[in-house]
Amino acid sequence: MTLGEALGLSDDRERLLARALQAVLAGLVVYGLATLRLGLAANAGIALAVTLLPALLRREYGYSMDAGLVLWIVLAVLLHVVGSLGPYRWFSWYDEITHTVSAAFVAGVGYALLRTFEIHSEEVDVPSEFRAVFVVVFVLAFGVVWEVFEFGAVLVSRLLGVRSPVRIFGIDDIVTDMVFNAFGAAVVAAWGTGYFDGVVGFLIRRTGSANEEGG
Amino acid sequence: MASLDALTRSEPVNAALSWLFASVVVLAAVESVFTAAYLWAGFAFLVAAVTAVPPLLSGDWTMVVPWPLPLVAAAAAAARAVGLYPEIAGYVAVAALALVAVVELDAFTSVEMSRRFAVAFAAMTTLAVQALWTVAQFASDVWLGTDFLTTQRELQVDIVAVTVVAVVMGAAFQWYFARFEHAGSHEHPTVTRSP
Repeated sequence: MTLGEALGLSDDRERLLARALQAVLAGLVVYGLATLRLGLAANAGIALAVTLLPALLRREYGYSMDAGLVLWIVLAVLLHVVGSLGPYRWFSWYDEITHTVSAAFVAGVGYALLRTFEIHSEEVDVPSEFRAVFVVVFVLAFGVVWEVFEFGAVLVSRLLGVRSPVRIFGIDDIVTDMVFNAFGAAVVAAWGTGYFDGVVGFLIRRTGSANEEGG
Repeated sequence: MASLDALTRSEPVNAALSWLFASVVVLAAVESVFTAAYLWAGFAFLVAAVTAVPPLLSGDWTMVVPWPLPLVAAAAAAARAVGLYPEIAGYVAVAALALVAVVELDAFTSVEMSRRFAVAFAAMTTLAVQALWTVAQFASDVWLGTDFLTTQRELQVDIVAVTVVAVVMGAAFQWYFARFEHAGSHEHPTVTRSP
């Protein structure tokens, strides 16, 4: 049973919900432009662009991403954009939610990559316990690289004299990020990898594996 | 799959060097006990222990990882013991441990990795350890009243430093493994020692 089924959501419902959330993002872009809050407009614009990637994949490669997964991506970026409007500053737990949601997505990408390597390469073959470890390591490492990116973004913004798209609220912010990244990763490693098997099939077709069953 | 298996072959010269460097790590660990750096002492012992697992399990003293891995660990431990760039030395030691563990995983368990994958995974593990380490330090500061994490800036610089170390070490060993495999496959075929 998928999460969507547990919540009583059909694929169509999930698609509709994703569209609705994208409309909210588009609304935020317009609102940001209209009120000259360009930071907000850029933030929401980038987020909206990210949510259009699944549609681009479908158009370019004829690959339909699982509706629940698309909804997950839209939800993750929307939570982030809404957060920068205030909730990040108002509630200490808000950041924890967004990090868990994004980490779960990164974990899925890590899992899909590992499976692709496994099927694509004869040299890579791992037992399932290792897959779970890999997913958690992947997310933790990604979190560290992300902190490097945030550090760089703040430095570059300062050099250019513009407002940084990301903000760091101190040591405890960095540490809680890491804790909730690990939490999101553990959830996916334990229960959620099935959502990403469709992505695995797509990656294998794209990488032109000799392995027929991948297609 | 033999891309990494060939690295942990039974070869007396390699084994002697590896054991030599592993004992340097143990010496540094003992020294750390005397200077009351217990956390670091424990870590150095762990590095030596992980290196010694395959020979202990197989009963073949020559079955150890390629000597450059213990060499790097020993260099890091020695630098740390004399107080030379202790932070960087710590990251290098973590990266070395990750590489040792990955090579052993590939050689002695059902986990099979290509060379490139193994090196990338070791680099990721290094970063993951940094994340866990940061959380542990923070918890220690909050609950045990220690003073590991002082400023955000310093933590961020640490994070950048460990990322650089992970990438550089990964690139260096990717180069070494590739070179070793080419040179080693013909001139030094895998030796199985007869008892």
